[in-house]
Amino acid sequence: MAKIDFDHIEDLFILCLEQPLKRQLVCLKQHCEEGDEVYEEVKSLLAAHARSNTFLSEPIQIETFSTAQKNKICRKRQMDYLGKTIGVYQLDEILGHGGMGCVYLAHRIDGEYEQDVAIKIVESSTLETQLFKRERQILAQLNHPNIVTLLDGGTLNSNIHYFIMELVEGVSIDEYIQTNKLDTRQTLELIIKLGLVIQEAHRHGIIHCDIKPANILITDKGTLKLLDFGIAQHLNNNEANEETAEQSFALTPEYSSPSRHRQYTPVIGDDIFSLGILLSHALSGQVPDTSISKHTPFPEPNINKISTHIDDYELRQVFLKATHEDEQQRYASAQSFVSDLQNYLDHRAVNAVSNRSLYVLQKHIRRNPQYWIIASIMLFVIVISGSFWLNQLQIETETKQIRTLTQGMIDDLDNTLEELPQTTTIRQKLIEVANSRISQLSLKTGNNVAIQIMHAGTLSRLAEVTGHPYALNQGDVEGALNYYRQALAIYRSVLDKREDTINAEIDIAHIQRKIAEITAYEGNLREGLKGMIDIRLRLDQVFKNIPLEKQLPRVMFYIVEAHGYFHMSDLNYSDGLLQKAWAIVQAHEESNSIANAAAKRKAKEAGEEADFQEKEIDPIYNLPIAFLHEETGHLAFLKGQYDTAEHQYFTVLNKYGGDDLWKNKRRVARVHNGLACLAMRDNNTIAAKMYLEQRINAYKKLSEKYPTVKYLKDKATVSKEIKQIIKSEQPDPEMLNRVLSCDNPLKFMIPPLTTGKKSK
Amino acid sequence: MPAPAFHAIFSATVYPELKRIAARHIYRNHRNQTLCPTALVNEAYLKLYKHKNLEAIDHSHFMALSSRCIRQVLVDYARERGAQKRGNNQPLLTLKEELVSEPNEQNNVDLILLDSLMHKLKERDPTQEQVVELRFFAGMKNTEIADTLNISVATVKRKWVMAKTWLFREMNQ
Repeated sequence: MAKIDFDHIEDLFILCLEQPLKRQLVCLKQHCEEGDEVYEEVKSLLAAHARSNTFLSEPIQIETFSTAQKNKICRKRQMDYLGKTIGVYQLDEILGHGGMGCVYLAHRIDGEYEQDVAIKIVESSTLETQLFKRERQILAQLNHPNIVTLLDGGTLNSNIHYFIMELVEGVSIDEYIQTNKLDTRQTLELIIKLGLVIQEAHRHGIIHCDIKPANILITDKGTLKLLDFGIAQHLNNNEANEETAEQSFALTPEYSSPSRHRQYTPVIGDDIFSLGILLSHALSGQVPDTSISKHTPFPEPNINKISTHIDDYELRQVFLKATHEDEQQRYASAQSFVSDLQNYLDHRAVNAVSNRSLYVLQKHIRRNPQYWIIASIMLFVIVISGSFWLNQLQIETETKQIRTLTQGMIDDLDNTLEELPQTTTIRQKLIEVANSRISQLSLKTGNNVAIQIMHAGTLSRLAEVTGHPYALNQGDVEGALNYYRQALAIYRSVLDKREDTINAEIDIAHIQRKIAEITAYEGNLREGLKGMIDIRLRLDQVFKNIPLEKQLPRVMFYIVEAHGYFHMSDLNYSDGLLQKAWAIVQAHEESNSIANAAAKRKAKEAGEEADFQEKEIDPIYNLPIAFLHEETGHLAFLKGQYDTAEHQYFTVLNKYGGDDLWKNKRRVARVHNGLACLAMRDNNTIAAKMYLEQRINAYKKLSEKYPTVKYLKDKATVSKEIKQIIKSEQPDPEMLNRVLSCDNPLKFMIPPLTTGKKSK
Repeated sequence: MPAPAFHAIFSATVYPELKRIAARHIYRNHRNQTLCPTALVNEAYLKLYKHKNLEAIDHSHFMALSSRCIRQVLVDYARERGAQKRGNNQPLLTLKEELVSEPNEQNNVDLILLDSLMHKLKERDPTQEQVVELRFFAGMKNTEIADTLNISVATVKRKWVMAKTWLFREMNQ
């Protein structure tokens, strides 16, 4: 045979292969003589190609062994133990292969009682023997109903060792959850059980190192059993021991922490990490995502991606805390992981979510809604009768204290009630009652400043629930304006008599702002904006001599005005105002950090460092600051600074996405819409779709909480178009743009009206 | 690093290690689980990473050589099993599809035959052989193969189609 030019054949083959099937031979004929050696070769290759679709299409995989195969291997690798006896047990069949040996099913033959057991046998080199002995030792230490029990163990001859374990028949935890269709609660209860078992192992100084579904079986009776301590480590086994070092390499990539991937000495945090991954797997049913890492040969778990499979915000936070990159930031123990899941189940505050007091309070309310309604009504009664009592005493001088006491109580109650479902009507009624009482009281006491201030505050609350478009309200805008005007008149009348001038001015500005907001929302944007400008000029005077870091109360006013400007498309003006707000926030943060540093030094000198707590920004400013991030994001979006917009949006989600406050939930929905539009700019329809789903989820949750609010119901409704988008693997970009209103971004940036009754 | 030194280290340390790891995985009992050979190579890399002489080794170079080892280990296993079954040459290693589609047709890959054909392929075009090795035996993606062999992805695809078609024809002749 003449020397064939393989390159030529390859060229010709590829060239003709690119042609449609019918034209392939024509192509070939064009390039060489029919009957020629090259022609025949390429022709037969083309024919073969048509049939070779599945050939080698997947990389080679190693199949799991069937029982018959296992028998062969165990027989080949070890002495044939089948039918033989060890102690009082006879070996019946091979169950499988542990890390270092074969596991046999055996039954008791001494007639004492019937008992099936599993016996693991290893005949091996010194190294394997050592590892085997360690596993045996570990199992012997762990006597726990949820850990496979070691019954006995020993040596057959110098290099053949065995141990006898209880026989566990069951399915892996993921399979169990799936086949039994466990709901979230049942799943979490199972994970909690597992966490307690791990805690028990940790208490004995043993790190499991290989927590994954295959090692957690659920028996027919529903008992959880943790298996395979083959690569477990002793906590205090830190010395550079060859054997332990050798074993510490083994890992299951999808479940292993970054430090396991980097072969650091195992720590408790590694098990916590695996528990976190297992939590996500159990909740979502999705095998953990991994991504190729530059620094480790195995693909590592992709925490961000995995977290998107967990729908529930709090559970997602638990997952993120358990799998935090920095081991120090994870749960300190399996116990604390378990407790947090229990918190979730009991509607208690979850530690993984920040410890904000309002969040904690809310959880408390959700846990005991009836109790809270009753408590709030009782508190109202106390407030009212307390006021009469004050009336009797005629305490003129303690104006400030009374104000703080009574108004604070009303505010707390109302805030509390606002977060309860379906309470707009109750709220309005309660506040109406309070208002009429206070108004009588105010008349009786004549010019008692404290009571007048309280009256104005109550009127303001009443106005909001009656018809302020941003709030959950009854839709009566005129009524709201009326109450606001009354409140304003009262605040103005007491202005000169108040000692807390700044508060007094802020109270007035607050009411004016509300009126301006309603005016703008009623369609008169210019008039509303004028109101905001007046407020700003006035506040400029008020705060003239106040250092910047103490001007936080102004932040909200700047944002609202800026918001007005970008509805008038005056982006530069908006920008200027937001800058002013940022200047205040930054000045405040700086002064805080200076004060903290000083206080810390002092605490250190006094030796009270442990008790030292950093002063943080007052949580009452969380809403304005979240709003500031959001608005800055919107503004950047409108100005085409998409990176900034994205950054700000993510900040909102990261820092404030967890607040269950209803105002924040809407913010989260808007921000998701913004992120979706940003994704659309990169033609990333998949991401846009994901954000859209998040937006709908946010509204869905709100709508479940406030079923009477029509606006929320509308937003939560999944339209035909949205349904089509969600279903589609590659959603239609035009449809997405339309649903997200990316071409008219102001539409999603406006905090929407919440009244169902408003006409305009 | 000079190639001969590397090869010496490789055959002295990596190959036995790979064999050990493969054995452990193959005999380990995980239900419904199949083992991806990439994991084998990676694990070997991890284990040997601490080896002083290996620290300077280019990762992709390592992967290329390890893939060869994997192939050898797996083919050896196939032979061993073939012998075990006394002539009935049903391979231990099968394509994943076998699990879902009919096992009779072309899904069963006779690894020993494949291996000998790959030796032939190497004489025709060494790049083609390497692509098959990296893709089928080491489970690499086209981009990774391109990086490892320092050729373009387009070339990888082309070589793959060619080699696969040729192997298919030879195996079914």
